[in-house]
Amino acid sequence: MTDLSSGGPLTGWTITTFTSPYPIGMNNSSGYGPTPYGSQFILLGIYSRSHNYIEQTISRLTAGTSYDVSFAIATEGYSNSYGLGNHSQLTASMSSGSATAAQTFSAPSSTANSWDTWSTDTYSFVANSSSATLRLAQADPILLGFDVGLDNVSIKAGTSSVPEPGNVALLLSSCLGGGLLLRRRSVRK
Amino acid sequence: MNCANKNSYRLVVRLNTSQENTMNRNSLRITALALLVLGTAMPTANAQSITNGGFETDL
Repeated sequence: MTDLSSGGPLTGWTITTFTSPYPIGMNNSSGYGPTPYGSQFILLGIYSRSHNYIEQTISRLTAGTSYDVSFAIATEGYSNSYGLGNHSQLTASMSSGSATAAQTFSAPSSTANSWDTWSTDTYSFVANSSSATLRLAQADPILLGFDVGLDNVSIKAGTSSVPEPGNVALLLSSCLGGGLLLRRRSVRK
Repeated sequence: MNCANKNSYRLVVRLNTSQENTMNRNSLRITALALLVLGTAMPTANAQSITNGGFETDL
C-alpha cells in the first residue's frame, strides 16, 4: 500500500486529498482485490464529508465533440463501525473545458474480499475547449466511509455533435467524386 | 480517304477513348486511396489519451 495523500507519486494525475493516507495505491499482493487490470489500483477514500479526488487534463479535444471516459470501480466489502460494506461510489465530473454535469456511479457488491469485483462504467462529456480536466472523486452520499477502488481509466471520442472540419471535407469530396462518376456514366449512355 | 484509312482512324479514336477511361479509372482509384489514407490517419492524429489510467506505475 502506498500513501498518496501528500500528492503522489502518481504519474499523470493531480491529487487532492483531505485525509491521510488517502488516496492509497494498492496492489494485488496486499491481500485485497484482485484487480483484473494489471496488478495495481487506487482507493480514493473518504473521511467524514471530505471526498478525495484525482484530476487529469486531457488535450487534443475538439469543441462540440462528445468523449467517453470509461473506468472500472470496485467497493470496500466488509463491515466496519459504520455498518455493512458494498456502498462505494465514484463521481465523475469535468473541472474545466466542459459544461457536462457530474455523474455518480455505484460499484458492484464484492464477493469475498474488498475490491474483488469490478464493473466498467462510462462517463460521457462534451468538450467546449481543446483541453478539459477530468475529475474522479470518492462519492458516498450516506457517508459510511467505504473506499471506492478505481482502475483502468481510458478515453475515446464518442458521438460528434459538431462534425470536424476534416470530416466535412471528406464527406464533400466523396459526394463530389460520386457525382462526377454518375455524371460521366450518364454522358456515356 | 479510302476505306483502309477510315478504319485506321476509327481504331485510333477507340484506342484514345479506351486510354482515357483507363486514366479516369486510375485517377478515381488514386483519389479513393488518398481519401482512405486521410480518413484513417485523421482519427489517429486527433487521438486523446489518459496517462497512467491503469495506475501501474509508482505504487
